[in-house]
Amino acid sequence: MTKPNIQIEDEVREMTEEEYADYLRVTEHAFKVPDVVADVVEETPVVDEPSEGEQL
Amino acid sequence: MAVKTFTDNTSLPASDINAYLNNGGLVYIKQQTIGNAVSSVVVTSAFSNDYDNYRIIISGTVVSAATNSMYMTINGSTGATYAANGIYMAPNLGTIGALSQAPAVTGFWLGISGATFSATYDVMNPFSAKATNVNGQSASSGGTTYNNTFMGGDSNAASSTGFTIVQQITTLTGGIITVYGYRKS
Repeated sequence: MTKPNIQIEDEVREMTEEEYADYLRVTEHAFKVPDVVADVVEETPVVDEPSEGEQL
Repeated sequence: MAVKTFTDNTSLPASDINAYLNNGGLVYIKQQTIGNAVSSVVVTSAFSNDYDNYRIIISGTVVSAATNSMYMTINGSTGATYAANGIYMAPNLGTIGALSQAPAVTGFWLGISGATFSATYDVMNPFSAKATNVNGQSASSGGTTYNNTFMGGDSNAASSTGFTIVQQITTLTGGIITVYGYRKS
């Protein structure tokens, strides 16, 4: 499995197993935008339902 | 120190030059350009006995996808001793979101990123054998944008000499991390 890249000073390379474990340890509790906010950001168009008896 | 007024064509004593150099405010320590598609950026030799408090600026890094959090860890503290509060706002919404993370996290929260992300914040006592505090703001532009203010602490009193910027899930490309020290006297 390809691991994310880490940069140490000017060197960029793939994380070692130990570095990847550290990365996961930090990000496992990382805060995510609540779904309710994300849903509002991703606006969905509203389609009117035809009323009863209305001819399509 | 009182501010001295200099006049033209008079001698400038070395003592005056040294006094002003030694009593400036922020002192540049180091700068690091963020590489391509990295999820962690390690900055070494940033904190020392020279300063107690630091200003860090992350300027214009490009995030591979928005709505993920950025964190900072300090190298002397790897446990779940960090705690944070934060506020995040989206320009297209009139609402304010709040974040609270009790000591179960392993880094200081620096905000939710948009496509291009910048942050400026202060770090108090990372090198001293004391608890460390952080507070600051971050802003983003492009994509699903969020702007944030944050404050937090790490109860671990161990000394740190460097820090790591950790981007949740996604990657960072470009931008510059600059570290300044607040001169003590």
